[in-house]
Amino acid sequence: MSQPRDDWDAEERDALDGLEGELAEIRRKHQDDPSLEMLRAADADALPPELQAQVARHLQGSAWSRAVVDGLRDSGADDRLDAASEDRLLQRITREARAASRTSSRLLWPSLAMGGVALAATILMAVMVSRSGRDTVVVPDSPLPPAAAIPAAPIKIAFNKPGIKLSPSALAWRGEASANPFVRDLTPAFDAYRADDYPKAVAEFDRQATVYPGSIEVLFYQGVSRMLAGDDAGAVAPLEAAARLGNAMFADDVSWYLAVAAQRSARPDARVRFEQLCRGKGAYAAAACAAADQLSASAAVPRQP
Amino acid sequence: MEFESLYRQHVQAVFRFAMSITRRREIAEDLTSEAFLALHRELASIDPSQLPAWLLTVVRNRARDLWRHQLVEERYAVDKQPAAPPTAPPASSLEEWILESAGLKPVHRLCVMLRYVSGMTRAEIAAETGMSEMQVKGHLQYALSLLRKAHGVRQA
Repeated sequence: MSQPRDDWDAEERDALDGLEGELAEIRRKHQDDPSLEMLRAADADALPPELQAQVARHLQGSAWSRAVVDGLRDSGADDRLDAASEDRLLQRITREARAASRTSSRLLWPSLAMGGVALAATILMAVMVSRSGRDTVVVPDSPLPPAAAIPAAPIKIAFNKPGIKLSPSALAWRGEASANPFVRDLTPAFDAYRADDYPKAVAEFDRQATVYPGSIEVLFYQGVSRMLAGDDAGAVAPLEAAARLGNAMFADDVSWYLAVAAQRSARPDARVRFEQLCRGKGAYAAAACAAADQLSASAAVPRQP
Repeated sequence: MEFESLYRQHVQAVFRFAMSITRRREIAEDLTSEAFLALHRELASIDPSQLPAWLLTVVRNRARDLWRHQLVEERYAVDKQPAAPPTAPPASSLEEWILESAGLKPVHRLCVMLRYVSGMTRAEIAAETGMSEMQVKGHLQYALSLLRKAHGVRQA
């Protein structure tokens, strides 16, 4: 954290007059905090796992860094590529894709020669000729070669498996971690979840939901496990119950997975949920905007502003 | 659906996400480009209903790779680990005011933190947050007006 620069205007000097000592104390206290860049990446879960966990632990205990993250979310950046940049980037991707294709074609030759199998060589040579022939007809900066058509499928918004996290209240146990009754009771469920054994995870979370009906962790992962097990409709109820708890740490996750579960089970409120998330500034805003656009496009109805 | 259609449909969402991870425009363009290159390679096997989540996952993974690279180069893991959570109460009444003043929105707090604690210029704050310099100036003026009142009360 750098020292303040001597560029304050008169209004700033006047307002901060007499507070220099306190500011210096705050600077000293937070000089080793994670950088803005690191906090931003952590907020998008885009750090290597070990560092992500370190920053998450720091955030749990640092109101200052949490305020920085909240501020970044609240700053309302609406970053867009303008039309020229969008075209330029497409051309770049096209060029690089073509170059990669040519490189992989060239790399096939040595293996052919070393193989020494005439038939294989003949077949692969035919492939090579076919590929190089395609390359020669593509002029630089032209549109992409025709891509393989993808069969149309009913739209189902995709989702990723969320990592396991525990709320501060779940971690408030003062004794040994292994003796924390809540963590101990949930271990079989989380073990199954980690091992991608979703039917078992669903069964375990269902059982724990009767013991801990007000636990955000149980309700959220019960819902997500059902989604991962293919029961999108069954995920809605526990996720709605999780939403009613109003847990700030899980709020974004719950809203996103509830919207996805609603959409995938063809509930009419799904699009509104995506639009609400899209208007917010949470971690899923970009994905929610894209999902809302995708649903609007499929329904040929413009998204409400 | 052809690649270009998918690109046009999803590029803004992917770029916006990349910018939310890194405020460096050129890096965000690189991440976006890599995601669509991966899509180009896997086009035949990708179900369009998996987009844009699939693309966002590629961006996230590439960003992690960049961080890993940076960690190795800077030996972050040894020298620059995130500080342990400070368990101490606010260092001063000013810190308490910044964190808890009901009149401040999160974005006001952020501007105050970056300007007067991190020592950034308004232009640097604008670049880091995606706001204009005028917006940053406005947020700071508002926060300072509240601070003056609060400071006056404390001094009285």
